[in-house]
Amino acid sequence: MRILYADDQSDVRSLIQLHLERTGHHVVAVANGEEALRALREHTFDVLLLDEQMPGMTGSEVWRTIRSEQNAPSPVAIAVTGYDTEEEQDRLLQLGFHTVIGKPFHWKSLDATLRSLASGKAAPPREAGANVTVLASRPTDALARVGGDAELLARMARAFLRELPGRLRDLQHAIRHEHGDVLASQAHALKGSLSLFAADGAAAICKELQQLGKSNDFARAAVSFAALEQTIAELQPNLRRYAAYKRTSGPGTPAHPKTKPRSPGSNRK
Amino acid sequence: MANILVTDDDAATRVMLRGILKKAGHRVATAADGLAALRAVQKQKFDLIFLDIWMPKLTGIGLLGRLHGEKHIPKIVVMTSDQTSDTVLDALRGRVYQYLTKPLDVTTVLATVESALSISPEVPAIEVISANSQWVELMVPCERSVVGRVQSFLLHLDVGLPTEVIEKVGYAFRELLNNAIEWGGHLDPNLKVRVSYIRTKQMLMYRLDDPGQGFKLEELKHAAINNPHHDPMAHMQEREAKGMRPGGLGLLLSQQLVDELVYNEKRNSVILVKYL
Repeated sequence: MRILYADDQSDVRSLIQLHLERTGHHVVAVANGEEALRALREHTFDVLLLDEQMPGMTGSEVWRTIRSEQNAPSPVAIAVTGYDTEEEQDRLLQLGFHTVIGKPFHWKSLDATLRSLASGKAAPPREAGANVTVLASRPTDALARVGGDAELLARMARAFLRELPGRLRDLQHAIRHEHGDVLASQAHALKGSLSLFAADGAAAICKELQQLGKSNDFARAAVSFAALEQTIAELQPNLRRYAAYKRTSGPGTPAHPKTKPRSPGSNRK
Repeated sequence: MANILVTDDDAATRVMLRGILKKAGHRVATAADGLAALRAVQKQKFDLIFLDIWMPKLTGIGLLGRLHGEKHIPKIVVMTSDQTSDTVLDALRGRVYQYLTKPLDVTTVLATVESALSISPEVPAIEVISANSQWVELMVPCERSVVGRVQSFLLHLDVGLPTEVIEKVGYAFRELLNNAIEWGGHLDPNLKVRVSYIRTKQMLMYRLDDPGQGFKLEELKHAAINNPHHDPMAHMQEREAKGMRPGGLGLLLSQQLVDELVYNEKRNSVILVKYL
């Protein structure tokens, strides 16, 4: 697709431009709203990527001007903003932007939006409240990681749940008996498995425990461990739901064929 | 179809990899620790090993050392969530094919398998000249898949740098390495590009020496770096006319992404510097 990208931050502009070129698009990158308007009068584009925080004309001012000027059908406009609050999103969407992408750029959400535009389908909807919490495991993420194969995810979850009580016991034992190395390596291993299920919050606590193990700080490790238990308890219903999945159709039929990977952090900072 | 060994002490990861690889038609064996993996390798011929680093009994790095004397050494893909330069350097010295960061996903796994298995045995290995955390120097064959592989190692050396810096330098480096391999080495795997990575307190530097004859900047009509100021799309028309893929921004952008980009006179050696 032919993309016009306006952003006053030259390094970000370069990075995005290079990325878009690499993914097969033709890109013209400009540094402000005036240049964007000039480029638009001279060339045609399929997509406009407009930064909202530019000095001079903002992205939405550029967009408003284009819409009032152009007789031909306007290209699709995507707003890019560093203030990615819900109010700001609503305001931009009401101005007729197709979608809003937060800055710093989330590659996957940018790519997904452009892919869906190129294939003529509607863009994936913004995920409500995705910037609220990272503590809960996000089912679409874990499922996306295995290509939508719910049956495989179920087997993984069962394997994980089988090992989990023993691993928590080992961690607790390492803290109680002050074995720093053991604590660090056990926490590291558990972190790896948790991240498979996109349980970022629990994985972050494991990372903390790993460091506390390395520095032999067992008092703080005990506190972190309690937080880990709590977080994992909150995750359990999700994990059990994964584990309980049973294939209903015949063998060889992919589970959840329509499940599409969704980029979870589109508006997360 | 290939024979693949998955070595990881985490059961969920073993289940995941086995599931993905079997579905793609490969034969898969698993091992839960390094010793079990070593026994498996001694008993059976594998094309590829997915190897975790932190495992009980014998670590992944330990296993690499033990494999050294074996007759047939499978291609090895190291996977770890661990971001220490020591692990990366050990992996490099252990002639690891690629370095993957956990958690893995189906796309990465299958792409890695495909690239590892499709590389011809004629393609020479990456030669390690120096591998300490401040100075890494490699001789890499002029072959496409090498770019992602070299980057998979070098990016993980940049421990403690902001993601933004790593991304920018990574993009610039990839552009330049691609150029060196494609234009300098004409994609001939028997020719080599020398890649040096040097990290000091205040800067990060890459140097690339390609085996080509160099080039003249004025000749690059298909590159955006030569666009006249009033026509930012001139190179696109040139590329379309020549039937080239979209692109041509590499030099221009690399220049903007790092602090210094310096060529030698012939332009077959380039240094890129990012101040920290």
